[in-house]
Amino acid sequence: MKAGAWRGALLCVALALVAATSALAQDEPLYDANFDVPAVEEKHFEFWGQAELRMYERVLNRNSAAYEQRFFKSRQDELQTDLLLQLKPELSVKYETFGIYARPRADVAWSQLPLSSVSEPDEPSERFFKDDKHWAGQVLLEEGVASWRPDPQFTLEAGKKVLKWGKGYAWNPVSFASRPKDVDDPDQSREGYVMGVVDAIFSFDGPLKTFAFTPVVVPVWERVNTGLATKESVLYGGKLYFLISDVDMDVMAMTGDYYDTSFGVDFAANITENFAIHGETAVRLGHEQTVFNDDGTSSIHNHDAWSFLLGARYLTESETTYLLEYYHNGEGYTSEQLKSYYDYVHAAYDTYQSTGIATDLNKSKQVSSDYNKSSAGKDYLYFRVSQKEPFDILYLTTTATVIMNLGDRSLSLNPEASYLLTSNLELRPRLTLPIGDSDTEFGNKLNAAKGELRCVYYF
Amino acid sequence: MIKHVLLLTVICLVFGTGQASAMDAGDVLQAVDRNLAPVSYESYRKLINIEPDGSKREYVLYTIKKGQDMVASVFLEPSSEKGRATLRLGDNMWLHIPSVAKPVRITSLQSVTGGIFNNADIMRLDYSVEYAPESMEENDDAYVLHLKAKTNDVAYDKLEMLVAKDRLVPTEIKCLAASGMLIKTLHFKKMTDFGDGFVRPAIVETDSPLHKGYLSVMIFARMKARDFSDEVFTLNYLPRIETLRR
Repeated sequence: MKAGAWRGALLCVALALVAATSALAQDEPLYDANFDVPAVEEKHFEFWGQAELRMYERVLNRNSAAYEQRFFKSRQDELQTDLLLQLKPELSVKYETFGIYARPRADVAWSQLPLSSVSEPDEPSERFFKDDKHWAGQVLLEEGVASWRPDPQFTLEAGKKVLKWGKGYAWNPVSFASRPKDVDDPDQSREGYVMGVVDAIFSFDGPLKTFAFTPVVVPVWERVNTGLATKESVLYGGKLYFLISDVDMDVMAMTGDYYDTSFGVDFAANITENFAIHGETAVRLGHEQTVFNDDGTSSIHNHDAWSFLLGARYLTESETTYLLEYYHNGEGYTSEQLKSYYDYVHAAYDTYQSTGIATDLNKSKQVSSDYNKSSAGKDYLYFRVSQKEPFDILYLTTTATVIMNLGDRSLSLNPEASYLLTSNLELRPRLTLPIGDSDTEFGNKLNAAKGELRCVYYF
Repeated sequence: MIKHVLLLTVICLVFGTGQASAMDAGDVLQAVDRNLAPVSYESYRKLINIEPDGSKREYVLYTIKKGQDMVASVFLEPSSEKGRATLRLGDNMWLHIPSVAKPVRITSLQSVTGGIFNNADIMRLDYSVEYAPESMEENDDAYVLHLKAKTNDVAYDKLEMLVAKDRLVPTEIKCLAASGMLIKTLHFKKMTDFGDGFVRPAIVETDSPLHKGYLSVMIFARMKARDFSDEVFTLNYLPRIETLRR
């Protein structure tokens, strides 16, 4: 055979191979139509969870009360870096009518800033820093509950549990036996309290479709549920739930020795298919509020604290969600009280700068855990716009949030995004920009700006 | 259980014979509903979102339904979605995200998975609950049902349903907006025996001119009649739906 013929034959074979490959590729199905159902028998024990790495870059507001109180002795660079590694495994054991669920959490953090839990930090993740150290770590059990469900109508649970009472997204004044949400990140999981809970559910035909009764018992001992009551005590509470005429409604109460007896009501309903409203109101009887006076002393103001929240959620056809909430915090400080406190701190800092005497600053630090905490004011507006799959980018959600203290018109602007890179890997970049004058709440946050990137791996 | 099987068998025998020609649009729609699912059932579904570049995301759900208007689902896979549960009672829908907060009200237009599927597709009620027949055409081997939403709360204003005469199951459903614009098309494939003589398409492929190149697939498995107490379809029980698997 001549060389040209060989070449021709080879070319034909090559073309045939290409054609065959192409045909095979065309015949290859887009997906596997076989579906193996996860075996229930193997699911008596399940283990899953998430590992999260957070990287922060913050620009300090060195004119803020929070900065002046914490770093008056050691001036800090304006630009600061933080790292947090968080491991949150979840375990579930089921056997017939019994079950156990646990969600421990391990945190390891490094901060360029020397941090301490003495002053109320900007983020809950900082709360385990001690003694102005740069490194901190902790292991805790967020939830650990044993349950018995002999019947769909009845559940008995005991252990450490997050009691999710309330309909508000950013705040829940009726959540009497739960740690408050981080208003900057309301979706974050929280640590629960140790309690016993019964859940009894009843269904009916007619306008009242569902009725549920959820009594709870919450012990407060030396190392259990510390802070929920002022001394050792046993708290009793309960919640009644009604689904009546398509409206969700709860009535709840909590009482006990060394605890402010509290009552609450919440509701949620759809006005139209894509427009829902919700609200809650709570009264805390005999609430003792620490008030800081102009002369550097503090006094206790005893009153029945009435809080309420009204919210609405609207969804457009293009999957833009608007969420608006107004929150009146009956346990908060007026803008005048906050201004008086900030002015005092600024004056005390100036005194220290000129005389080296920190007496007034130390006086103000006595109440910093009350005045510097999140949502310390009286009236807030929470506005959140969330766009799912903008520009048709699948698995991307972009969100912008404004949290405004209506008393002093200061606010925090938080643009963020969430992108599921794979089924099990999520990226969440976020920016927090507090905006306000030197005598306002958000003008006195430790950070002038904070950028963060969260990488979450689900396993 | 035996009653459901007998009922289904009778429906299949009656509607699957030459008597079908005497059926009106309402009868066909009722038969389609019963041939797609028992009145009360449990099932497993795999959802697959396929992107134009061929990349895929898969989700596995456990779903229960009771009567005309009660549906609940919980995600079993992947880990990022595990425990996420949805409840539907008529027009009311809620989403429960574990370890976050109380269930929040959602709408049928939203999508808990992303992609072409929305909540109405995932928590579908019987077609006859949400739609009324406007007209029906007939050819040698199929009926063409023109359906109109009974209320404004339904995800799609109109449906054009192509129903195979021999088995009275849909082969294709076009979902239309009030303007007549095509939103998505469902293609029913792979007739499968789920046991007890219950035969239906195991695969529903969905494409949309609004998401060119994307394909969403729903694969059904272990669909079988099962009765549940009403208390299971409540907000309080929603976080525990997965415990019903057996």
